[in-house]
Amino acid sequence: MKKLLIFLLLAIGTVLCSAAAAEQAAYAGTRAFVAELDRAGQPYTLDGPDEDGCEYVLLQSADAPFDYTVTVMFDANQENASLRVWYVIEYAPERYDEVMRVCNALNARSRFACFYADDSDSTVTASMDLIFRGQDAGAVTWKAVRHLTGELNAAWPLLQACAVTAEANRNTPRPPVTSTPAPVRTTEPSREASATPEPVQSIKGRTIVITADSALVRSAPNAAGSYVGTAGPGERFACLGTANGWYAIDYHGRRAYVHTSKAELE
Amino acid sequence: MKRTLIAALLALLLLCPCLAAGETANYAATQAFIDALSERDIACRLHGLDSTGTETVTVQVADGNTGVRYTVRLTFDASGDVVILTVPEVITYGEMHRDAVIRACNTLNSSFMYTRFIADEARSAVDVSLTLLLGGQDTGDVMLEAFDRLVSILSEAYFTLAVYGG
Repeated sequence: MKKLLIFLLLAIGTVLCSAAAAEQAAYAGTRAFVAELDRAGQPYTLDGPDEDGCEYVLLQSADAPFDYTVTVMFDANQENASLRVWYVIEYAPERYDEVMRVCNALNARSRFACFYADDSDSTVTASMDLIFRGQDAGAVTWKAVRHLTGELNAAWPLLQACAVTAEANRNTPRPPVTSTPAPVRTTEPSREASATPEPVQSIKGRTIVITADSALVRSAPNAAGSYVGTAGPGERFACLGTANGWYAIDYHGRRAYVHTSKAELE
Repeated sequence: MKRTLIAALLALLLLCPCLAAGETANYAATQAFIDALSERDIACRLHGLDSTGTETVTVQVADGNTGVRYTVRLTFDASGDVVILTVPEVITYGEMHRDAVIRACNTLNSSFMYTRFIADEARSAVDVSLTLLLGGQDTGDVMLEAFDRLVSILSEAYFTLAVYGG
């Protein structure tokens, strides 16, 4: 009887937590998507809307061959969403032509993902964009995430060969569980995973120090964000938070972003 | 300017009869697209099922911006939830331009949403495609939006590629 009561309380708590997370979303498309994630037992982080009106849902790779974050972006128009995996790898600038050929080959064999090399920061991005209507938003977006991650995981061996060591450390390949070859990644998320959203970490009051020779400062926490400026080694900025591999900083009075690989938290 | 060009393009399409009108598609998604085109009096051609169970619809487009005519091919399968829009051979290029074309495709892929520009080295041709995931609501309307986006993007992107071939 006692166990039954505890089970019921946990079940009610889970339902209430999921409902609360879904209600936090500003847009109907986002709400439909996170409700789909809750049903699938897929952990996520909800963020935004930011000053551009963009709302983000961040998903960590689960049983993929390397660590990455899928960022799903919704805006107020309710009929589109964009999926991005930034910093799939970082490559040496002199290998730009080689990486472009790899991306082209991957695009030729992919049905859903689009891969491209960004020579401004020598990284590769995987993208997919969606068009939907009404309540289709949740199911279509969740299906898209699985297609994108499936193709991204399949692409990893080719991309990994182009990655610089530092990036290979950041997107750490997971050690094989057994001595047998690692299986092709499944696109089905674990249904036993926790549905509790991971909050965006708040680290206000601390500072970051730039450790790279030169760090690009961007208007948004992604490689597509427009450049606000640059920062050199040793420069310090007030840290406003962190999400998805980027530090939000106070950059001369405005909110801007620096990739975490270019700075350290003090 | 862009809207004017698209309007001019659509007006040109209006002059053509819908070749597929009256034909019945095998898949509901295919039929929804044909019906949506028919409502806008846009010409299309329905091709039968091939040996893999894929059904194809083609639409001829004359782009008023570039002066180029090309074919948009939509392929549907039995799943009913994936449609792939492709424009094959946007350009064909000489071997000496191969690296430059791959670079141009990469630039276009980073600049435009929805589409993938691919340099096929075996055919020395650039194809562009857009993959659409369908839900259950307003599939014809969604496919038309995807079609319009593809045509619009290609109209803008064409001149980037045209310097390497035609």
